[in-house]
Amino acid sequence: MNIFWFFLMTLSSLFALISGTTEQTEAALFAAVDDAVSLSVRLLGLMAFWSGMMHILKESGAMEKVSALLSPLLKLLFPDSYRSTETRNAMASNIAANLLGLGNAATPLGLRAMRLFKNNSEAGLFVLLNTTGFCLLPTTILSLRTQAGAAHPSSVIPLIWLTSLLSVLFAVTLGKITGGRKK
Amino acid sequence: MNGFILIVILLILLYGYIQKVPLFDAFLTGAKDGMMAAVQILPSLIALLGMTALLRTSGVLSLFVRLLSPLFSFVGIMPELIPTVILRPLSGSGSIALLTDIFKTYGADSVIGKTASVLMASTETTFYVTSLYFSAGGIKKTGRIIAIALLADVFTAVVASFLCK
Repeated sequence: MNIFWFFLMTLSSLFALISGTTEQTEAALFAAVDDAVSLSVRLLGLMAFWSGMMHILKESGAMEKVSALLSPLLKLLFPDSYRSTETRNAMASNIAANLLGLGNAATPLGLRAMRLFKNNSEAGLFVLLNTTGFCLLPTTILSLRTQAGAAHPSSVIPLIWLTSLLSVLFAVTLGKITGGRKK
Repeated sequence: MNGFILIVILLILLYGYIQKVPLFDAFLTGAKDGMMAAVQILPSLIALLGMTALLRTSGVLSLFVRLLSPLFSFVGIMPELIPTVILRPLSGSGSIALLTDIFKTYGADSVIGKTASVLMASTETTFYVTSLYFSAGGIKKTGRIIAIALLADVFTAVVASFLCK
């Protein structure tokens, strides 16, 4: 990210200097900086609200319920690691937390699972599940859409489910095919 | 999807009530975390919304888009989404910044706004997640999985563009 930011910032500045659009560019830069602050203030309420709701869900033990439901799926995808109760529980809770949108809870659980894996190809598959991210209620997107004045902020949710499902299937299939059968 | 959000809120509250969760207290604990999260993204929003503004007004963005659009339109991704597709795996708050920029420029209910929403929600900060997880697992051979993860990101962008059309 450091190189990326440096490169794009310097490139744009040079470009603006050369093409003589310095005035507009400077104005736009500082307007954007201002926007960032008002955006984060306006998002504060929505993000706090959803985070509060999600915490209720967490306290209700929904994560444990969902992890139990995931068991057959885990057996199918991770036949080797499934045999260890500890690994299985860490994987199941991580996926359940991701599904429910409990990002804060998901990461430590996922990292615990990573430390427990004995099978590297299954560990890779597990990483893929985390990079493709499947979430039932994407609260950040919902907040951003609400804040931007979308007529129906939640109208994209079915599309998100379908897209996420396809993307997880795509990644897992590729992971399985290229992973081989060796331990 | 009318009333979807209220139904979700209702279900969460009822389920929490049945499970005897102290609802108000639990809400406050979570809301505090959410508030912190919104404040914590501010520095990177400033850095990245600033960068986006520079890119756009200096003309660098349209140059990039012009260079890359044949490649992207070949697989069915709208040229307006090129910056999002590139930044998404690199930075979570950066892509939030881009998404708000897209909402502002094209509108949240436009095809571009919807596609970007779907794309954002169905992918993760791939580079961050892979480096975090692999280093926790002490795994050195990571190339294959990172390649698949990035390929899946592009695949997601194609699917999102197709479905939102």
